[in-house]
Amino acid sequence: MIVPLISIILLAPLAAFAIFALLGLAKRNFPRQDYLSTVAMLAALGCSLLLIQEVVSDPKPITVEWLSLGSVTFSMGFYLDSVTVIMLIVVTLVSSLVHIFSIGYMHGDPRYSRFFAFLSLFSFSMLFLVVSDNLLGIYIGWELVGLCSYLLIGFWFEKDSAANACKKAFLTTRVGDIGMFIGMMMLFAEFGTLSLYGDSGIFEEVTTLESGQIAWLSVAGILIFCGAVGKSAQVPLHTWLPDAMEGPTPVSALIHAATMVAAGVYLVARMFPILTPTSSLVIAYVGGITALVAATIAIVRFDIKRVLAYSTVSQLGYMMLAIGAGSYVAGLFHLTTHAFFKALLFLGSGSVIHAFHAMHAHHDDEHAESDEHDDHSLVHEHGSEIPPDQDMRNMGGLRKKMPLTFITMLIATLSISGVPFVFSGFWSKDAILGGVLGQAMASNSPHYYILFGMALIAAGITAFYMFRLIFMTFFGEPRNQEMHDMAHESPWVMTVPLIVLAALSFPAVNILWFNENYIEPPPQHHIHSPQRVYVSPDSKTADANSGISLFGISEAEAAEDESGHDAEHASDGHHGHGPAHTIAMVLSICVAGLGILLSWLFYHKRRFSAEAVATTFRPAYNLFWNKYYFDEFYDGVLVALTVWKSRLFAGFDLSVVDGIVNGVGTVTRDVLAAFIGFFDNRVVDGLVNRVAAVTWSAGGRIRRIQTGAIQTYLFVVIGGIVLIILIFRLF
Amino acid sequence: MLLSLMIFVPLLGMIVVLLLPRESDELIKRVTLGFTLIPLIIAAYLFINYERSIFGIQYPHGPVDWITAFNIKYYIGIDGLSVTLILLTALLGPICVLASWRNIEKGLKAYMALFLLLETGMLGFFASLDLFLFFVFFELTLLPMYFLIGVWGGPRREYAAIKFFLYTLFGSVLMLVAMIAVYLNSNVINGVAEGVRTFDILTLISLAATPGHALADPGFQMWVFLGFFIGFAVKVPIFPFHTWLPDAHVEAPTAISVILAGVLLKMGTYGIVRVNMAMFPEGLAIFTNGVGIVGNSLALLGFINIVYGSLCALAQTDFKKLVAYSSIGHMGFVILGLAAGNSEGINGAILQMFNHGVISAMLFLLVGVLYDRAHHREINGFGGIATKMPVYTGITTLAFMASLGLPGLSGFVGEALSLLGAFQEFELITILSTIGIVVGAAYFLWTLQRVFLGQLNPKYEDLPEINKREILTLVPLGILTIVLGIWPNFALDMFSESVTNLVNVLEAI
Amino acid sequence: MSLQHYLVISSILFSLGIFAVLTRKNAISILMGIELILNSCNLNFVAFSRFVTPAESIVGSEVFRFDGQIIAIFGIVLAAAEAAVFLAIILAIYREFGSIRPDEVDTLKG
Repeated sequence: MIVPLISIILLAPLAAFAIFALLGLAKRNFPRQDYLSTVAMLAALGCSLLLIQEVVSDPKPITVEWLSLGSVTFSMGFYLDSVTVIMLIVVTLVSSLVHIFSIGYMHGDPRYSRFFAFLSLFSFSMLFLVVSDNLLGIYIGWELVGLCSYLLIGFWFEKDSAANACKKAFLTTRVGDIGMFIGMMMLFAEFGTLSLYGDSGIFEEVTTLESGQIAWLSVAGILIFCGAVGKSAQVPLHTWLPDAMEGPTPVSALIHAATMVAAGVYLVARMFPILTPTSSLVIAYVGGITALVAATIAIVRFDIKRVLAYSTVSQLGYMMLAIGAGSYVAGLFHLTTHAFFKALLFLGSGSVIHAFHAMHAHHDDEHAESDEHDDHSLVHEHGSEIPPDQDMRNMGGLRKKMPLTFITMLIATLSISGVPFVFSGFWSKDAILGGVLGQAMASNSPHYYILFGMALIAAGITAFYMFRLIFMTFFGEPRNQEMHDMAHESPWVMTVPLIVLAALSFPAVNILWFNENYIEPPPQHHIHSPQRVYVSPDSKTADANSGISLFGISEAEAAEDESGHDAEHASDGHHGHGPAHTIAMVLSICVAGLGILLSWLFYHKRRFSAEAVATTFRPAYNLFWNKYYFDEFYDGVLVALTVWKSRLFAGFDLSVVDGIVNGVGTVTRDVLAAFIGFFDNRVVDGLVNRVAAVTWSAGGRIRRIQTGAIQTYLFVVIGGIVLIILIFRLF
Repeated sequence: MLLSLMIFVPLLGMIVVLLLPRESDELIKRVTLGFTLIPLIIAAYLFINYERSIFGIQYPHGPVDWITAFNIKYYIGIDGLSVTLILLTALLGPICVLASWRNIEKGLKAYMALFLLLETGMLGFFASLDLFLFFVFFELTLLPMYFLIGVWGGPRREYAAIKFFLYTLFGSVLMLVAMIAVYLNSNVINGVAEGVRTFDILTLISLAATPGHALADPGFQMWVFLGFFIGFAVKVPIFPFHTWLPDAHVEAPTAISVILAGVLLKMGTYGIVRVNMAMFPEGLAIFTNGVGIVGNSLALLGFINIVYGSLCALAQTDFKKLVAYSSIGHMGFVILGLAAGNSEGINGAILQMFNHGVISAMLFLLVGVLYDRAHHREINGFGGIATKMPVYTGITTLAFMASLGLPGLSGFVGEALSLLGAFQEFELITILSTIGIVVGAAYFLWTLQRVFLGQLNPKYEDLPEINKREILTLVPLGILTIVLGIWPNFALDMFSESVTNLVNVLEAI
Repeated sequence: MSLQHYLVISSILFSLGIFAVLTRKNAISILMGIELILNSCNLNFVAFSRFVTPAESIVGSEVFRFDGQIIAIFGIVLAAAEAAVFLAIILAIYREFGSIRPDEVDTLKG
């Protein structure tokens, strides 16, 4: 059953795209591309749900030979374990809902069909990435989702900002992908395969490494992680994601919040067995820094989508941090919950944006007018101007106008802020915090304490800026009366997905994560290091994840930390980790409460003035407002340098290399050839001409004999004869 | 016989075209198309019926005595490598005729006749098994190319044509010297000359592997290797012999650019595989053994091509010149893969040869489509034409993505395999070469943005969409791009046996 | 009359002819000189034929051969024909150059 189900999951969206592409070649459109794509997606969703039953405890990859080159074979295949199935469900579910939402949101767009076709292609690529059992397959899916992201960010390509953003997204992620590809090359050079599972797969081979190769493996792991840094918008390659908000909002929800950007986390989770302590620590730090940096930037944004974008970056940092800290399950759990509530937030914001557009068809025109037709340089401006319909300073008091949107978004906000017990976000975030603290206690390494601190601060900030968004958008008085009057609740195709996603923000729905037998983290390579000891494959009890445990089913199991401890460390691990989750939970509730409280005081009660605070902490505010100057650095330094270098090279090519060639040509022609020509003209040809001239002048003289008078001739003839006779006579 | 038929049918076609009345343009075009379709059918037949699991020459014809005084023979045959490139050549033939359907304004008859002559030269080159014949066909492509660029080209056509001609001839001379050296030494064993000399490639390969034979001497191999290599390097083109390429491409008419990028560049790399690597493995080893600058030189050349070509492309504002420089970059991957000398590297390189032939042909056709409409190629002079030409934009995006190595399309497989192979031998150089991938993405996306995205340039309000004939030229290539991306074994199967054999030879050194 | 007499007359005629050809300024006179030369030759033929050729004896009788005379007749015919052609050429020259003086017709001059 597995193969046909997977085939349907993959092929249904692909077919929806293929129909569009083939008809497009014939310059036609499928009349109901929206229904076609949506139905394909729903079919994939159905099959994904059926797959839950099919997953066995010890999955074997299903492979076919893809490429065979003498001794080396590359295969393509599926690997289905519980994580894969959960990812499949998340992707197909969010994708289906986004499809439905888009039927309303994109209504009237001139490229309506194309939008759905691209969504289908994206879904296919993402699903392919998820089920692939080898790095090559993952890389293929990885790049294809990048392409779809490019196409969809640039969907309204008449806007220069969109055209810039899609290019930036593709190029930035490509930088990370190169790192990933180098990592793949390293693994391939060592193991001769890119398959992950199976007897000769990387995960099996990696256990045979010598301890001297740990540094090498760390480098490989970090390089693979580079791919995730790009795709999951981690610092320092995060700058593309906020710009990616130029895409239609459903795209932001699906690709740039729920699925594609989470693929990086998924990749790192997949590569979990080859992560060494060093690479894990690097991942954790990158994740932690991203979480904090993005959260601080989010505080000062006014564009509703940018706030959510930075929030996404921040949350992705959380997930990375979790996996880096060894909390495999917590990271994936947060991925799932985040996918739902962030998709909900984006769709909700889409609903708000939609509300500001009585006639949505005008959407692109408005932007088109506001944007100058710029000079298309590779260096460009960064969304410094906010479209009026996304500016939170134009909103306010919308909760009465759009009750459904308000309630669903509030649920998502509560979830992301970590409001305890009722919302799934709390559990996943808490699992991460507990995991990091647990790791800190187990390894006794200051690094993880620092990371825990960063995560905690980020959690507080998250609560603050998310409520700032809610207060600014839905509470208070309308700031822009004209736009406010235009606002209206969205049609049912848009609100139904919101309601479904809101339902998914409650923990009970995420049932699979609370079934502790369903997911277990893969074993990491047995490498003993001073700081850390890896989980051994058989310590199943120790693998019980924090998310599960802390749901309150079993405090005893909660004491067992997933970051693990094998037999020799079991005892002190136990004692060291027992309180970790409790402490983490208490602290996280405190910071979340503090964040919400401050937000309420600032933006609802107006007890403090945000402007005043901004003035007081001017340098910090500037730093946040300018996004830590990453874009300025990239554009001013890296991009400018590359362009400058390329001009230099092209100039070099034209003036030096080609100059030498032309120079050789010129020298040959003007000097060498000129000399030879001179020699030839004057000497060789001179000789020839001289002979001719002599002959000529001799002829000129001799011809005088020829008088033309016949009698002269006769006279000569007769004279000659007489002479001859005389000569003969005389001698 | 079949092979000979395929090679000389275009020549016959040339004669037929020359006999047709000058004014009957339509007839000339149809006849030419017909005569290019026949080789395609034969090539497809050969491709399908080629026995993939066997290593060695198939469908041989000859050896037939040709110039007996020098033991030169007419001897042709194919192995997996050549049949792949023959298919590419034969496929591009009719496509180029179709691409020339409307935009050759003068001397159509001569154009088509020269084109057919060119096709014979190219097909013959890939099938030759006699070094002399190989050289003759190599030079045979030069003459029609010179006229095709020099007569039907753009404003600086004469300059470009002469540059192309002289450059290639410069390489050919070195090649000829090396070839004569090989011939003269082909009967010297242990310093004693006995028996007849030969130009037979297969014999020479086995002689070069015979201990004590003059051809097997590493010093000799090195010099001969260099001679041939420079000859082929001009064709590839490898830095610093590349500057003829942008000029020739920019000036040449669309179809000729397609042939130039699609086939002629492959003649260089094919020659490197067929002669340099197979015949002079000892010479090759000197330049790829990874010791010092000389030991890394081949890989370094590949690296320079990749990064240098890509960066130069980034700076171009002429659409066609950009594609031309991108060709230089992509051929760098071929060189890098060949330098690796292992199964992944060489397979990847050969696949990259084929893929680049397909993709760059598409790119040049696409540039031609735009040029026919707008009559200029200045990238910054367009803008937003995606709204006017959605189908054209879609196909261009496909070609760009394939060229920048998007997985799932053919460009990726060859590139990735080349890099995977090269990384095992030259770690640092390969890592640095990956810069080219990012830059490659940068210039294609930037071009995509400047030409297609953004607001529509009001000058192009009424730009007509790509027409059926143009789509017809692009679709076969597009299909190949996708099919080879999804199922690369389709082509890899053909030559992986030959490559395995070659790798064994190389590894024995 | 012996052979010498004929030969002397013939020589005088020949010399007069040469003199006329070399000195006369009129083409017709030159023609006449040529005729004299020809006739002197004819005279020689006949004279030699008469005096030099031995008689053949055919059954006792003396039979003379007439070869020289026959050639002389050929010569006369030739002279006539030649005169006709010459006059035709003279006519053509006259039409072309308006003169029949050979020293004025020198287009072949080198």
